[in-house]
Amino acid sequence: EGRAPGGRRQAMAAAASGAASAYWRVAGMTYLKYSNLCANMVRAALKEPTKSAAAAREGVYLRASKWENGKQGEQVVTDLLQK
Amino acid sequence: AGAGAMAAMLRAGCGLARALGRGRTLPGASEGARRWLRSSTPAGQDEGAALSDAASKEAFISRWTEVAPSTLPPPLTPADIFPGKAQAPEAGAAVPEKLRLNFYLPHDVAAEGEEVDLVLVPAVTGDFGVMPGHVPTIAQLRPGVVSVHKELDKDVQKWFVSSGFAFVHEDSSTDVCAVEAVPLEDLDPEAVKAGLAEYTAKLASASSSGDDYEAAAAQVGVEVYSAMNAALGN
Repeated sequence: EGRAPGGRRQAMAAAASGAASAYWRVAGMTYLKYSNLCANMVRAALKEPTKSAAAAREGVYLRASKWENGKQGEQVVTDLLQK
Repeated sequence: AGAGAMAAMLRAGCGLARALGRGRTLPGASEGARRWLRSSTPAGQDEGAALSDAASKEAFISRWTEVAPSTLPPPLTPADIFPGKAQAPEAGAAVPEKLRLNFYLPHDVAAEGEEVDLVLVPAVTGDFGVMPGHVPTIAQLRPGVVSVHKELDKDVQKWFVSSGFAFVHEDSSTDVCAVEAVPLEDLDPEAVKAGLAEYTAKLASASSSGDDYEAAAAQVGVEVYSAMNAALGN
């Protein structure tokens, strides 16, 4: 869940040039988010053996932490598909 | 010391060979060096410039095998690894009999280089079929069914595709790229019906509450689930 100022900017630019934008673009969703949302929904509707195999492809995120003096700092998880 | 001497010999040899003409080499040079010098004369270089990719690769490999150790295989070239770039057909060439289909997913290859008769793709602007000789196109796909007719109406494979793009090239090769493509048998009808009801309800509540983003997400759900419902024949 999240808003994409970039998505809205693109939608407004497209509207200004006269091109019609997709409903998801108008609402602030980027194509990446739309495409991955569609993929998640298809995976959720699968039958059992394929479903668990597909679950591995679901989460896309970045986990990072700073190291100081040989000690790992706090782990920060960033969801790459926020917008 | 050998490598330095060889390099110096080559530099000298190139100049000398040009001066002496083809076939004359330095005394004391090894057989490999002599052959290399012979091939790097202006005549050999002009020949090389006129060769096409495949022919120049063969010429390189034949020269390489002459000087390479017997246990070392020849190096790969990009042409060995990547599928060929689509070449425009010559003017007046006949339309190929079959379409070459590549169907790529991020995690898998559903088809590569397959010879098919027809591919039906669900584009955002409407469904269309690709047959050999189709005009080059780039189409954005909506959630829907991709049908691959290996033999027209006889051998048909169907996949439900979540979204992606289809590219038709000038030489009748087609690339379909999708994020998720599942055979129709893998879709669970109960889950599809439940999902459709859930997202229809979410859409109603989100549009009434005025939340644009949630309404759009719910509308994506309705779009995907109704497409799956239609694909399953309901």
